[in-house]
Amino acid sequence: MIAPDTQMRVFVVVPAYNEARAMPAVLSELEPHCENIVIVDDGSSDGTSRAAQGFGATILRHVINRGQGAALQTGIEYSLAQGANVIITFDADGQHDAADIRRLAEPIIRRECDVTLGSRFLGRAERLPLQRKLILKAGIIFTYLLSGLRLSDVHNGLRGFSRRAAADLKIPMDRMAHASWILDRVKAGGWAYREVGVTVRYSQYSRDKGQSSWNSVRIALQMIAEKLR
Amino acid sequence: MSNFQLIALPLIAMLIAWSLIRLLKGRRPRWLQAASLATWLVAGAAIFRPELTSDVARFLGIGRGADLLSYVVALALVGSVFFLLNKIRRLEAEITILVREIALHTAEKPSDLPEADSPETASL
Repeated sequence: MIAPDTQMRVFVVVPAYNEARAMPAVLSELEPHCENIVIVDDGSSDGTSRAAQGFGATILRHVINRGQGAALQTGIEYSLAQGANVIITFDADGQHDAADIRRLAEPIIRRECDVTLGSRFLGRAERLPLQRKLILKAGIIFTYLLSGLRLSDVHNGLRGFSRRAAADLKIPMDRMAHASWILDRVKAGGWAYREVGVTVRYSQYSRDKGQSSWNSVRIALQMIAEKLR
Repeated sequence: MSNFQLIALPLIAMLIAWSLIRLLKGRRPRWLQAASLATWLVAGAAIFRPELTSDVARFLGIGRGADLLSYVVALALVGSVFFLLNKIRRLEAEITILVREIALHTAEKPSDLPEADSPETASL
């Protein structure tokens, strides 16, 4: 057992697909906050890996695109193999605030919970488009109906996992449905979780890179199919 | 015997023989080989004695043998789609495992990454 006051090894996993433009700024922001950064280049064609070099991050490359869920699982497996005690997932499009990493990691380090879930509605959502807000609110209701989890936010890429939870995770959904699946797994696994207020900043770039509304419907259908399986 | 029967029945006989050999050779999956053999046997019987399909259709309350065949083909197509989707899903999962293994084996580490032998003493 690691005592609550023991310094633990925190890894930040950043799945990235065609994020060469955002990568330098995201890594510059991450570096002061965490020394173990794992970039998973998910088969990018725009030189994302090259853009990530020279920042002190470990770079893993998927030779072909397999989706964000697959990239996260690759980063998690690597981090566990390196001895990570806490794993934080962080989006590569510059939406997240690296200062939130500590807030997500600390409850896990103090052994108060196994999973921390970033919530933009408990924290701050800057320039959140109305359409996106409505989709997220619908997602919150959908998650409650499907998983029984009463959350204030869903599909937030900023999350924290204890080593135990990360080792049990084994994300089977390669694409975007992994976010709903993880919440389902949190409930099914009986892991202690906590929502943490975080900042999500919307920019034209992140909006262009974000999911379409149609994709949300696809994810919902995938999750229902997964439940029926 | 009609011209169609003269053409189709030898072909069906060859397919039955081929399926039987594969089944006896123990080719996997066995259930798929058995299902393949059963399909060709039924097709052969339906071509050799077309009235058989009408008898079965009447027994099932469908009416005509042609309608029965339409239903069977439609159901077989739906079943095949599900079978193929499942297979694609499995292949996708295997591709992901391969891609992941390559990524983990070719990890590009920064020179200053702390050693992994003391996970409880490193810092945030």
